Amino acid sequence: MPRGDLLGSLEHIVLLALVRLQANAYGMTIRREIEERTGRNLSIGAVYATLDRLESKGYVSSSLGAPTAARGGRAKRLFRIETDGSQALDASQDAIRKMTVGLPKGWRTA
Amino acid sequence: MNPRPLPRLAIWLVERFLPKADRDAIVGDLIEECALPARASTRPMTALWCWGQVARSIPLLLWSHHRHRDWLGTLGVAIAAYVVTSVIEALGVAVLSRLLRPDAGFALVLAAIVGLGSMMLGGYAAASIRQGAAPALATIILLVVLVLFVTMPNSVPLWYGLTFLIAGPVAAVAGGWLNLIRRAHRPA
Repeated sequence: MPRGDLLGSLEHIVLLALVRLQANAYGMTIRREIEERTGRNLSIGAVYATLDRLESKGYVSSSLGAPTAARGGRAKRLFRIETDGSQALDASQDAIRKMTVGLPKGWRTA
Repeated sequence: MNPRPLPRLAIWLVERFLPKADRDAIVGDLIEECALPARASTRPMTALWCWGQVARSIPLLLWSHHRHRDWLGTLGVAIAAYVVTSVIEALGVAVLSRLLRPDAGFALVLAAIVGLGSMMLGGYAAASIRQGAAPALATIILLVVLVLFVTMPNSVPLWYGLTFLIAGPVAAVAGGWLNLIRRAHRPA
């Protein structure tokens, strides 16, 4: 990842969802994982727009699963995090950690 | 888990407007999520949730798609459609001016009908090449008419200019819609 190219907040959250979901990461599960953990009611479009952006950067890759009856005969688009994505996630996590070190107690509410 | 039927119009909108890469997966995701016990409360509530998702998703994905991939191509198609539209309009007006007295009010009305018809045709043709090109054509028409309004305010009667300012972009978008409707009724 080039220096200074930190992830946006939604990119960061979506990549973390991919890490959590592993092989079961597709639009619906990613959206629900984020909603359940953060309370953010994202649209499925926001999830896909973010994933498309991450894919164009080479941070994630996608593949089509088999169509299922539970999905009205539509295939899943499964996503997985790539090495560049893992490095970008590490760099972003690291930057946030460094920026929060030494902050006074209660800084969130100040 | 039985898939709860989604509003057909919502699915139709997703299938017509979203890029190919995403549309099947998104419709499948919506169907699957609507069938989850946590989501599938009552049919109207499910439909409402689905409509909320579709309404929020389409503009985002369209914007994302055009920004990252083929906005230049869409703009190219729209400009080409505008050139063709202008040529058709000019030919129509030339024919009318030979048949009728140019200063007759009736001739101007016919010229406006020919112009708007060619814009609708342009929108239809643009949308058949690339979805999203018809709104781009409408924007070009709006900008050109605005520029003409400012630079040559007295070249045509006010009603004529206003007709093109308002109905011109609408005609281009309507042409695009007609193309979408024709595609929807075409057998797979």
